[in-house]
Amino acid sequence: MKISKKKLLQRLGHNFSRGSITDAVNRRIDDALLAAQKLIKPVHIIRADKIISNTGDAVLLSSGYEIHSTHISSLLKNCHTAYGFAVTIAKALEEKRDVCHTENDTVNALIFDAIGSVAVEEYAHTVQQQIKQIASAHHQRITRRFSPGYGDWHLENQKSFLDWLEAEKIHIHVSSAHIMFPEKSISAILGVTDGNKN
Amino acid sequence: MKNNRFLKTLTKKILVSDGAMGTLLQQRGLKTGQAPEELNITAPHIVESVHADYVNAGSDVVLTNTFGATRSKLSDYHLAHKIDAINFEAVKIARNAVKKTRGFVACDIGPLGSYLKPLGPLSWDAAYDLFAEQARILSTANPDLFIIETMSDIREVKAALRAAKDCFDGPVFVQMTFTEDGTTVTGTDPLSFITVAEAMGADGIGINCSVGPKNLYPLVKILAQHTHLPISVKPNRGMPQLINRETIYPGTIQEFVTYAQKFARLGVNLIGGCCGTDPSFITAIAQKLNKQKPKIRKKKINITRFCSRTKTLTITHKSPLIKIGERINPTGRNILQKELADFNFTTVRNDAVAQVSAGAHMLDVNMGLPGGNEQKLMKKALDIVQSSVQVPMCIDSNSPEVLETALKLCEGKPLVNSVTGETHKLNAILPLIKRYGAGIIGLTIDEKGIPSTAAKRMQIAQKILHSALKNGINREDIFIDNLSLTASSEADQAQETLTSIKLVRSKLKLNTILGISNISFGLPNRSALNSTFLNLARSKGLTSAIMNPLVPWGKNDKYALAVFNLHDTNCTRYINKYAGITSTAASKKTATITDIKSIHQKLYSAVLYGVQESIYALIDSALLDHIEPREITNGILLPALEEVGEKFVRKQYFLPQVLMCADTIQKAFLYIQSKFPQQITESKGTILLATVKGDIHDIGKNIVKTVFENHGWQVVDLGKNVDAQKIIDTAIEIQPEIIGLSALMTTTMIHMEDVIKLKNLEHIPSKIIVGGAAVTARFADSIQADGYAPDAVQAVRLANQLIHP
Repeated sequence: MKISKKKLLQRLGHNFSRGSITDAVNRRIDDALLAAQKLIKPVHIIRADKIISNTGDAVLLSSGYEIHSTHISSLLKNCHTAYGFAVTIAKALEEKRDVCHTENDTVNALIFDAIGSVAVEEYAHTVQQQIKQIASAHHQRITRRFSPGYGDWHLENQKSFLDWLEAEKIHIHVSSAHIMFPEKSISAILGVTDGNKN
Repeated sequence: MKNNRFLKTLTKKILVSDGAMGTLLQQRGLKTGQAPEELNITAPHIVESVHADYVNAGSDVVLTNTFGATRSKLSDYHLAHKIDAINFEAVKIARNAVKKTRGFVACDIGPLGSYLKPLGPLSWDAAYDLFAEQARILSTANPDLFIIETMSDIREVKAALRAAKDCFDGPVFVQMTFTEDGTTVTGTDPLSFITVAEAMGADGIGINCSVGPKNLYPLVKILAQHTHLPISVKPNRGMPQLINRETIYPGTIQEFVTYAQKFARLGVNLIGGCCGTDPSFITAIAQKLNKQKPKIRKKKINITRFCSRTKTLTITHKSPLIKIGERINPTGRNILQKELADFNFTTVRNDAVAQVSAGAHMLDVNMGLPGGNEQKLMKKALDIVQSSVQVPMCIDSNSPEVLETALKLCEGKPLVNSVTGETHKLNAILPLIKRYGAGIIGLTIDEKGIPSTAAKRMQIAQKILHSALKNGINREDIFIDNLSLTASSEADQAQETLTSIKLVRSKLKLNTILGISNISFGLPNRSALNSTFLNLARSKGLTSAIMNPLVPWGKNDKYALAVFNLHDTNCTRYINKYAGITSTAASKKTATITDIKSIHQKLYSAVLYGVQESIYALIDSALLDHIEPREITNGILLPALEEVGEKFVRKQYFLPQVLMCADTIQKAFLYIQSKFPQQITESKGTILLATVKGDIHDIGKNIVKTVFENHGWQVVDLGKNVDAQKIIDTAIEIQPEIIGLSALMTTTMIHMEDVIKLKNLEHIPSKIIVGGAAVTARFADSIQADGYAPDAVQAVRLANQLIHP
């Protein structure tokens, strides 16, 4: 997948109006982008369930999975189906970053880390677009996406959400502190509604 | 391996292998999170039932359930201690399943799960050892063949093949997996894969998994066109989509059958399926192929190939001259020598890029720096060059140890420069060439030196050829260098060189090579002599030249011709004509730090712009100008770093630039310290850093560490996921002025409070500062931290303020 250099520079904190980039840094970034392309292996998993009930503070899905969150309830209001997805770019890029750390190459470690963040965000967007296309084909619309750790859908829900998605199939695991491995992974839920209701 | 039953059968009919294993095991009882390979010892009947179903469906070859049975992969499931039983039993189970049909058992070896350096953390030796351990166990159970599969890193292919060939006396097939763009995820194209696999001694080459049979077809076609080795294909059912717990594959049985026939028409020898396929696919393929004879693919001769990870260089008798860039060599290059002595590879990198831009097909890399550590330099140089350009490498060293290290590091198939005709050298170097799959340059020189006649040089070339063939090296991979000697002192030898090129080419049918620049040593207008001699050599059949592609290579010069035709004794007319003319390499003027006038300004700018390459030379110049070391540090370097910090705060610089500057000043400090150990600058204080418990994100903390170090702080870094008690115990021991805590997540930053409570309990006087993505000033206040910093630069400022209010 192609990584936008502009987005990468933004991620690294470059200020396009005030800042300038020295040749040395520019070259490092170009080299890292080239190397990272070889290490990014995006995979994803999608799950769709009918919404059985939405009480305003909890949503029950057809598989029995229940989310207790007013934010999710609000997100999925008027929706008949919930789509969950998880994406990851796999662990090779993180390993490369860690090798850089070990070798005290903090500059490249920082750049590789930022590339990973940009890449996984781009891929999550791609998957979201895929779901949007599926919905559009049935004259349906999708909501924005929402991830565990935001609002009152606490990060503690990450594991049960990933279990529901069966994200182990794409080798995403969760630590006891609810952090996903590989680190460059995103999980999210969104709703599908008919026509113009949302 | 003579009369191998599998290889013999492969010549008589297209063999059918099996389909997916993992999904069938899941259907039959493999639990989520359980290693499929564990079933070999806990439920062998399940594994055997899968094999049996494939055999009944028509599989001639079944792959053992050992895809993830290397120690590294088994460790993920805490099964490393059972590696022997898991692998050995797997072969026995498969053998039971094929007993009735006399089918074949192929040991399945999958990737290690981590890439080799520089893409990942594994060294060649570590990867080799892991593969060799599995291969040794598997081979003791008497399988029929090995299939290394689903590889995506070409260096891993090399390590796996080497290990398998070392441990198993039978056929070893290797399969890579490709993406939709026709390359592996690490950028290797099918031709480079063929080049490496053939060079490493694979007995069969193939593709598996990937993107379904339809998308694999053009790639398999490339294999069929370019290798004479047996080909195996095991496609998956296209890119899987995981929806509602179901893995949905787009491919159909009909598509598989259609493409099985198409693969057969290309000359594929072994066909099966991968992810998403099951016995019904194999039944359909087996019925369609029904003992069909394989199409015979002709062996192509006289084709030489070298490659990098991503690109192959093909040499045939019709190829234009192959140019091997000679610039990455410290001999006679003072600037490069000085840089390499400082372990600075700026020129190496620039030369690599410039030579390839100027048309070099391959790059010679020589790190023979007098007094230098050649092995260490070669490792770093290859790392730099291979990451900067895509052409194959030509490793240039006399030392077998350096060559072996370099051969392990080469991502593709390299050429080695060189071996002489001396028996002990042939014995030391040729086995390495075979072992690591390279080509070799043989110099026509032996124990008696360089012969003065073409005939004698030819004899040495024959000796090298004979010895190389005996070591199993292909004729196409042997290059003979007939040696160009200096025309100013030995003009008559030029004719002998030209004659021997013709002899080697016409009689031995070997590739020839010449280091051109030697010919003009000590004479003016070297490019006229070099170009003329190259043209003459080319007319005699020269295949390739080690040369400087950055200088113009022109037509014949009549004065140079007279030198080589022995019409200009002692080069008198040539020297009279060209005295005072030197060849000029095209040099691009770039604005550099050296344009700035005072040394004070130069040093200041070097830090401000993060120009690391010149920092040592600038410090030397400053010292020569009698600037005191303390003045360099306090009057130049630190103020420059202050300005870097200002630029960051004003958003003129972003973090990578700050870190480049930080690296530069760090180098400067260490250099000054090494020269004046007594002038060790006083530490500003000690900071104890840690990412708190539960949090494994340490990029931010590591950046903070770098910036603190470069601002003169002593840093003790406890790493990530650190328990509060450990932080406090260390603080009691080292008594830091500052404790810096980092956390990325809202769920982990709460542990910062634990550290503060413990600190207060123990009455530790250190100040605690906190930071990290989710941390805010308000949160810092709420847990009674002494300060909060949003970034590394401001963390240093905060720390300075806290200890010097």
